[in-house]
Amino acid sequence: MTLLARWFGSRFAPDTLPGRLRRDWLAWVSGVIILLFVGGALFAPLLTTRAGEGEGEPNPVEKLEAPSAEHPFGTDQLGRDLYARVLFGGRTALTLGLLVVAVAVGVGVPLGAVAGYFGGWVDEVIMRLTDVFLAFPPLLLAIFIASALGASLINAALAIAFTWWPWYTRLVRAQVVALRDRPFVEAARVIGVNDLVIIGRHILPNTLSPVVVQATLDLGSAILTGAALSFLGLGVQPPTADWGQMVSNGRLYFPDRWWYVTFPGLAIFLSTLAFNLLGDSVQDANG
Amino acid sequence: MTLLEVRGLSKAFAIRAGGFTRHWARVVDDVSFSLNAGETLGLVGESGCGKTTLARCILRIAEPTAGEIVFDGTDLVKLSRGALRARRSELAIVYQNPYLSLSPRLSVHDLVAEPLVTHTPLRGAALTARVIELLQAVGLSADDLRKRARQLSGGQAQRVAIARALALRPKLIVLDEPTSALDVSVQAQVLNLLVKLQRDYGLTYLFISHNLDVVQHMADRILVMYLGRVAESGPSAAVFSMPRHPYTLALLAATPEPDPTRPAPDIALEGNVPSPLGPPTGCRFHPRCSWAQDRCKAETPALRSMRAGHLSACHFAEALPGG
Repeated sequence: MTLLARWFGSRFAPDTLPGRLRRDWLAWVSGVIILLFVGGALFAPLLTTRAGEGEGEPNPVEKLEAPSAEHPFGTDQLGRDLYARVLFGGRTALTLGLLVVAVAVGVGVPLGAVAGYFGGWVDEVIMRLTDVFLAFPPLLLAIFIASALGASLINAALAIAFTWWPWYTRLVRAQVVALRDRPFVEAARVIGVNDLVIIGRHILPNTLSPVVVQATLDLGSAILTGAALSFLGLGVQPPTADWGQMVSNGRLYFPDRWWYVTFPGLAIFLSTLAFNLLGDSVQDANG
Repeated sequence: MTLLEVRGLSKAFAIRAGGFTRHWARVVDDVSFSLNAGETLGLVGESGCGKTTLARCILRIAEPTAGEIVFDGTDLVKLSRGALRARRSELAIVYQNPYLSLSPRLSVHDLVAEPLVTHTPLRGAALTARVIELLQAVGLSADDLRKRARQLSGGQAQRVAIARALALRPKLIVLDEPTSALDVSVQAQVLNLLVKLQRDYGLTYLFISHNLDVVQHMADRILVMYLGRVAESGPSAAVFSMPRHPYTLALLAATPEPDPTRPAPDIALEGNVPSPLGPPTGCRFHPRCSWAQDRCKAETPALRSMRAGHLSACHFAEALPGG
């Protein structure tokens, strides 16, 4: 492994989850990429002199210019600085990713916990419901829902989350089934602790790590799916910057104006890859 | 005063054997006994004899198939869920392995506070003060409040479990092999703590163990179970000095003898406990019994009174050696 990883490894790496993560150089690389994206999105107005263009102001005198010192990523058909657009597009992508994961976790985890804990007909109803949702191809279902709800960031996020929560339900249910007959759960039942308190206090905290892994992996996929939706015009509406939309618009000028699709495309690729690698690393460190 | 009276308690598990065929495993079969307030009843038997299932039925975590559990005047089997939950403060259990029975993510404070939070209005500083009081009662200190169970030694963790059981001053504490997962050196300390707590707070124990020495040390009365049925019961002194069931004799003989000059016992327990799915006919112990006659294969022995409070389920109880 790299020297860096070895140094951190020897420095503070007890055999714990953070310790094992620190020894994993891929986790470091992907973590740094994610931090760059998050930082770029948060501080976008400070990192570019053309924040206005990043937010959508056209600049007709500098249309479709190639990358230069002035415009590191070139400009688009409205003359907007693509570097600024990619930074601001990160805001859209991360907001969407977080929204999707938050809604999917918020819906999927409680349902899975209830299904796994109570079993019986409650379990049957909830799990058959997840089967119904899982029967559709997720992108197709998301496209239906997004077009029915109307194109906007929130609706795109809801549409994607709608197809994703069943995975969390299944994941958590399996964990809860394995935990519900553990002696410490029985011990809480003997005391007379309320079932919902048992789930929240004794069971769910022990299912957190696979959920965190899945959520990290899903952040990347959500960004990718969100880009696909807005590529189809079902996501954020112009003039808000969005990577998928930029790729969609830029493809008309490809390959002559190669920079237009390349930089937003790279942003989608790198952010998705980074979240996936980090998710894998967390999973490995967990195992 | 009788605190707990169990009458005809049975617990059968349905085991699906393909298709619609079902077998019933009668893990606890027609068990009756009573337990006086302030006493300790030792429940003895090999693993798989139904001790833990019996305890789970009494605590109403398992649903008994038949029978009554009269606890402090009310039949727990007949209570509604709500009424049962309210009375859970009067029952507590200490499990064999504290690392499994204490929630791994909770601090010692939260673990000991949980019963108090569930059943009393105590919160905040008053709650913490009570928790510390309980920890001190079991020989721990306020320094341990923030620790998790895995950071404690086995003995310390079991003390936390005991503090938790003690928190609401329950009328009955079920001790399910409370020391068998601990180091031998720690076992005695925990047992002595349990004896001390019983004396100080007037507790009633149902003490489950397969270790006869420990039971002899702890129990006022003994209940020996074999394959879900009561083999013998009676005052501790009587059962140990004059066992009236071949199974008890065999268990006593199997207890390691610290004196190597004493001759090895001549009663050996051979084979395993038969499956409760197809228990032997007649007396369930007959395939392993050195005194078994034809009658034992055909006729199920009833629990008969030997003398004051001493019961045995053996056709030939009077003919056993030592009588």
